[in-house]
Amino acid sequence: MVDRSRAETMSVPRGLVLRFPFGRPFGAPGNPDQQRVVLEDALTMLSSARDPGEVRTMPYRWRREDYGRILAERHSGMSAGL
Amino acid sequence: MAIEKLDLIKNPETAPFSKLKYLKWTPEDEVAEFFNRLFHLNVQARETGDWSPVDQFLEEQGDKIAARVAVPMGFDDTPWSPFKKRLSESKVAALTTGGVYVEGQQPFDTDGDWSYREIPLDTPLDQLRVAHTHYDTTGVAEDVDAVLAMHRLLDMEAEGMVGEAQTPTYSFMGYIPDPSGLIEVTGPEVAERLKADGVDGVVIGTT
Repeated sequence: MVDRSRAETMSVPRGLVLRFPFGRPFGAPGNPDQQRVVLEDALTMLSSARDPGEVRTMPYRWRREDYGRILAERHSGMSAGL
Repeated sequence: MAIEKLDLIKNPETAPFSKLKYLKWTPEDEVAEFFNRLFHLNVQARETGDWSPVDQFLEEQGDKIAARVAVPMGFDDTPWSPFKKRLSESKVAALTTGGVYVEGQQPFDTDGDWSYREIPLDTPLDQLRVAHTHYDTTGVAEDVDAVLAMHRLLDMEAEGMVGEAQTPTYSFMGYIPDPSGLIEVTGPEVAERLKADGVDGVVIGTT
């Protein structure tokens, strides 16, 4: 979603807000790491959201993040935790 | 090289600028206030070398303006289905409202259309099309996963993070001035199809 107020007005069950340009909800074209980070965040909300209507705003700064590193850290943490 | 005004407001590199074109719906005195504030913040930033207040101001204004673009339908009740399975054992669907369709299908009517299109996940990239005139479609034209994360979902399935990726998936075109058909017919229809296919969870890429 592009903004929190929209998600709240529509009463979506779970909402993920990205401060990305319109028309690129999963990230920049040609940046699979960024798209993957966002898709994982969205899927994680399926089980981690506790209350109906929870809306999370993610801190990502469009192209100014190293999404490859976010994924690497996330996945190494996950396997270590299993 | 001079920066063209149109390039500036279309520039997708900066999220706020992608929304500033909607200043045209803002009252004149607020537009004047916006530029006044922007000018002063820029002067300050040039003196201090810290441009983050300018970024922050543009983000705030972008959100404020975006909220005006089209008032979404409001609902009092929040639908809720608890998700209790492990993702690695679940069947998941990635949908979109971005107007994606497959060559050979009827394109969406961009003046308002509550129908949907089936998108098999193995559709060759060169057969994917988009019909939507109410958002900047240059991103999706370049890479469908910017709005419909079908290949990222397939990646997660291949790596075992997701049990199964639902195919076909479904695409809507989000400009629907009269949504009664969506609410009464096509929304429930797609939900039923997903349920019948045993889908546990859905992610919708909205534009």
